[in-house]
Amino acid sequence: MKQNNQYIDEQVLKAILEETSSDMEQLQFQEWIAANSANEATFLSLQKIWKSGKAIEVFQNIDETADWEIIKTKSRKTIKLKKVNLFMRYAATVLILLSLSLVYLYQTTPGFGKYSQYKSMQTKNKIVLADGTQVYLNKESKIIYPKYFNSKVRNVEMIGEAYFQVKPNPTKPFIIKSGDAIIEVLGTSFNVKNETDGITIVSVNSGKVSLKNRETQEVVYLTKGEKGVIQKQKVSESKNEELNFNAWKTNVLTFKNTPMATVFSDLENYYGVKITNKSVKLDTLTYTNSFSNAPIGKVIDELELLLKIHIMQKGNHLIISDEKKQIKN
Amino acid sequence: MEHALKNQQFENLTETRIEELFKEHYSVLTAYANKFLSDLDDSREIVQDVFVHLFDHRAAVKIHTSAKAHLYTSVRNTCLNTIKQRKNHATHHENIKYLSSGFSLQADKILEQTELEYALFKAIDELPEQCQRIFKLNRMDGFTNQEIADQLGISKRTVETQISKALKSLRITIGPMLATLLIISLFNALK
Repeated sequence: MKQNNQYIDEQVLKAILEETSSDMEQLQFQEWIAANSANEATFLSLQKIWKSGKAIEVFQNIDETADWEIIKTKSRKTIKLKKVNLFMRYAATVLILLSLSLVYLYQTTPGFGKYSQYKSMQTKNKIVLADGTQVYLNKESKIIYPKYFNSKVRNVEMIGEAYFQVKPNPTKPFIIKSGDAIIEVLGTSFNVKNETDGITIVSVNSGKVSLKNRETQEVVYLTKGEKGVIQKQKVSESKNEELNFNAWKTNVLTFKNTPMATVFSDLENYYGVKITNKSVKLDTLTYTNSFSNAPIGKVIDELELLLKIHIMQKGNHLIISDEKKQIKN
Repeated sequence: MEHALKNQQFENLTETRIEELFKEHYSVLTAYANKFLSDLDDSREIVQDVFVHLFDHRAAVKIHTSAKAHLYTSVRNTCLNTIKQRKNHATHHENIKYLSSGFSLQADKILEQTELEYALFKAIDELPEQCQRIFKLNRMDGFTNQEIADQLGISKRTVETQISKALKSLRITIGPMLATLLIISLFNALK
């Protein structure tokens, strides 16, 4: 009997679960439950199994294999997308920086984009700008100019010394920035020279030139035979008495009743030499002569012959003394 | 506790390890999410995204507890957010109610329940083919024994025998586990 109570026919349990049990089956079941507490647990779990049919149906509808593929596809996509995004982000950053610097370089760096630059070393050079303006550049000078004059004005920048022969164009003023000077012209020829101590000298050969101090905005107008000097905060104009202001360009040195001090100074400028005068008698003399494309040796010979002086050349240094004194010593 | 944390080793998430985790937990996680969302497709998507995230950030993801706990927490939190987004939807008011009050405890019970159901599903899945088919038709699809008999062209008696057979087999394979868990949950319920 006890043995029987421990065992129960599956059909009976099923009938109980289905709630289709007969009285006989009910009795059998009650006896079985009462026989052992573990039986009750077994039944409860069976009941659980029986009733959870709907709840476990969900697993039937989950396709693990298919969903794993979906995950792998999604994953690859996001990884790829992220990699591309990251790459694109870097690429875009680099591209923007690159184009910005290109624009900057184009706008500012002479020789690279918008502007050209010309720098003369030990030779003098002639440059023709896009508008036909001729620029004679002295030794060790530099000019920065646009390759094309597209804006309303023709802007150039110059350091050193240059002679400009500006092509006339009434609608497009030609503006030179040099040192503290802003020189504006319509069409003319003139010489611009930066000297040491921030001095800029503009000597006009023809036409009319406006010379403006960049700091004070003070303006003077210069015409033929006049020169303007910018020095610190000042602008001054005077008659240009320097015959040889553009000798470096013309290669002609002209002296006309010129005091010797000026002669020496012009020679120093033209030949790039240093002259020390030890002859006192020369201070009161003037000199008249003209040299064209003359080597310094020829100038020395002429001066010695005419003024009866002795010129000793030590490299770039010329020492002038009286002939007689030199002999005595 | 402190000691346990010190000895905590971060899991090295290889692709193989993730696939293992997927095989072990995907179905339960999805069914679990479905209990909150009552939408199998949404549930699948949420769980898939959790795995995708794990996949893509496997180098960076630091799992402070077990991988399993991490997965369940992620799914549960995503479900919670989804429900919040759906909060105007009348049918989910009930969910919000228990999610906001004592949610964690409730969620743990739901998880336990889902795991149990999955174990049962797996056990059924291992039944002999004919037996399994009949049992599923009866329990999942809700056909009567007569309907199944007619559908399969067998006698009603055979259907009944097969269902009994399934019950017996399940009682042996899954019964002890169910019993233990049921006792525990009953015990908890009594508390």
